[in-house]
Amino acid sequence: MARSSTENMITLMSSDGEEFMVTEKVARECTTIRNMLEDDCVITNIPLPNVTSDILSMVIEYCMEHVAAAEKAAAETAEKGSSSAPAAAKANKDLEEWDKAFMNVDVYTLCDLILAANYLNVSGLLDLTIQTAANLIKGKSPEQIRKTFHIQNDLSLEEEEKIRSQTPWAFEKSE
Amino acid sequence: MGQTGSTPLTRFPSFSNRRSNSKPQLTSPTLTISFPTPSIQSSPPPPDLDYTSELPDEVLCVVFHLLPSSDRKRCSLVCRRWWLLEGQSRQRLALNAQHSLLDSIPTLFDRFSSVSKLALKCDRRSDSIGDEGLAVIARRCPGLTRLKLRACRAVTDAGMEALAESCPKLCKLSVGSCSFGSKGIEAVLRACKHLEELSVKRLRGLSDSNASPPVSAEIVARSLRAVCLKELYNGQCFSTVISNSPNLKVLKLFRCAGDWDPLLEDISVKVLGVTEVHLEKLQVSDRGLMALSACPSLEVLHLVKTPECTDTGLTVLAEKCNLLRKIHIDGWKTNRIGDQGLIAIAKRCPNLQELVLIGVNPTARSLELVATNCANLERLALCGSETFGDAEITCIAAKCLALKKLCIKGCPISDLGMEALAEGCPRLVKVKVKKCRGVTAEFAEWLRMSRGSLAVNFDAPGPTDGAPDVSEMVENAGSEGDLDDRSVAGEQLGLSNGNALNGGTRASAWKTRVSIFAGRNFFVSAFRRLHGSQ
Repeated sequence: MARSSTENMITLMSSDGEEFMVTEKVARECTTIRNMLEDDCVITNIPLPNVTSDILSMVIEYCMEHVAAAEKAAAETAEKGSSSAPAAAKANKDLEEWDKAFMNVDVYTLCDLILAANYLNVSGLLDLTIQTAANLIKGKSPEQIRKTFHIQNDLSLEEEEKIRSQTPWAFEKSE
Repeated sequence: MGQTGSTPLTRFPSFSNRRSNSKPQLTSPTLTISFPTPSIQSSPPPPDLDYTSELPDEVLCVVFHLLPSSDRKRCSLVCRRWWLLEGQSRQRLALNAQHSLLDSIPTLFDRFSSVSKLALKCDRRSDSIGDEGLAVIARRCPGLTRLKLRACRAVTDAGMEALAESCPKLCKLSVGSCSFGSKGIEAVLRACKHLEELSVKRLRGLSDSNASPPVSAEIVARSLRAVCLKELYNGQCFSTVISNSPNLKVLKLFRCAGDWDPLLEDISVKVLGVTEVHLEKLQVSDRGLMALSACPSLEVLHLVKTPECTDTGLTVLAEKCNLLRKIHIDGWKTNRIGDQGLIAIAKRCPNLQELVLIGVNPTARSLELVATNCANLERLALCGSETFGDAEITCIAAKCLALKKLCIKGCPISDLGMEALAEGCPRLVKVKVKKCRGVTAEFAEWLRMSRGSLAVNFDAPGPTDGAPDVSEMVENAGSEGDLDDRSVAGEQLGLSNGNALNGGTRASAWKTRVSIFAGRNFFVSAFRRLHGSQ
């Protein structure tokens, strides 16, 4: 596929009608959009009817940060001929810190971000959000998990008992 | 773009649309593509909304995959959907394989319908599942890729045959403390054409060589990459299949009775691509080492307590195996491997990265050559070397320019020699000094101060320390986790499981005797007596 200039601007439109102008490079972080662009190079306006503006703005923020980090690393490599390991490690660490701060959101927003990352197929963001969700579950009791994610317990007492009765068959520590 | 990793889980998720306030899709004149899906809405959340209701099943399953078993179990109690998804998505399952498991197999495998990695473990005192149980489980898990069987004593060769028939995708099989014999393993080798790793430990059925004939020479295990045999009698019945595995890379033999030189000779003719060989407490001699020298790809060699291996064998091996990267030698203080062997390694193995010497007595003569020639040496450990003194450490400090980790235990070094480390080895990040009575705590503190980036791990020998206790030393050597954790796990068993040659049941009696005779000579003589080598 012909690569368009990185200066190409693309308009992403959220479900509530807000428009976001981003560079093509940032838009391409979303594999779903990248695939569209490769199918049809002249698209400049992409409606995203299942992403609201506040979630879309966060996804774009994430993509911009990661594109900037990648560009910076590439520039440094080009400048010095080869990337220096300590500098690269520091850049990675900075980005990790940024990701961590970025994940400081309420659980509801987190779930929406997972949906959007999955739908737009932003693999880095999907991994990050899913890992964050997993961390929210770790060490919690079923009741605490329900509370965290606002889940209704629809298991009957008998069913719960049945599930519990199956667990003694499993070794506790083998995994 | 730099993004790698996950593939789209659901390109067009069909949201259940429980979030009721979805807006109509916007259309624009330039629209070329539209999405057939309703909106993701955002804050504020309706009060009774299940945040996870719209997450696709696949996404929830990925979340579950990131959790350890205990958390997964709790997840299954959250709600019906989570219960179903957790069961359906669980690939790893470990079951207590008592006889009574049989009745629960149908319900268990209805719930866990996509298990691909299964462990069946029974405790020693209980009756285990038998052939029928294993056959039923195997039928319920046609996609099984990994199986671990522990102490399933009621399983016979017939059960293993049933397993082999039902689970053709098996890649890894590990059996321990079971009662079937070589025929059961042979059935798996015959039927499972993808088997890559085979680990056999304490298999009772092998002891009877009539019931456990050598694995048929017809079987050519093309897929087999790694074989590990531990604590076996008659383990030689697997020799045919090992030497008939043209793609074998890793061979580990721990504490198996009998003569293993013939296998090494067979390998040297048929399995030239082998890269990693671990030999521990075995009857192997220079004959075996010389044979192994025909394997030019050898990169990792562990020679642990193989008292018949000497400098002569090691020299021939080093001459030919020039790609060696990691070498562990536990000389068991027999002084049969020393400067001469190490000089050969130094001269011919420039890629050496890791050298662990336990109970070996090298001097500056060989170590200087290692330090000079092996420019990539990053990890060096010396335990219980009587000759590793101040001259030796000074030489290491001056010449090992790539060294990152250094571990010294129970060696006659002193503050004087250690001082060289304040300046030497420019890339050193970690140094561990234990049970070296010539090194003082004050010195360790001084080293910490004078070289800030260096992690200094030091323990001072207590005032009550008498002569170095060999058993303790060897166990410490075993727990040297930062060098090579996998290999050392075996070493750690070195003394505590010293029942290799006696079979499992006598373990406790053996341990008691160890505590009485805690000393090397007893082991050496017992070992030699058993092998009739001296």
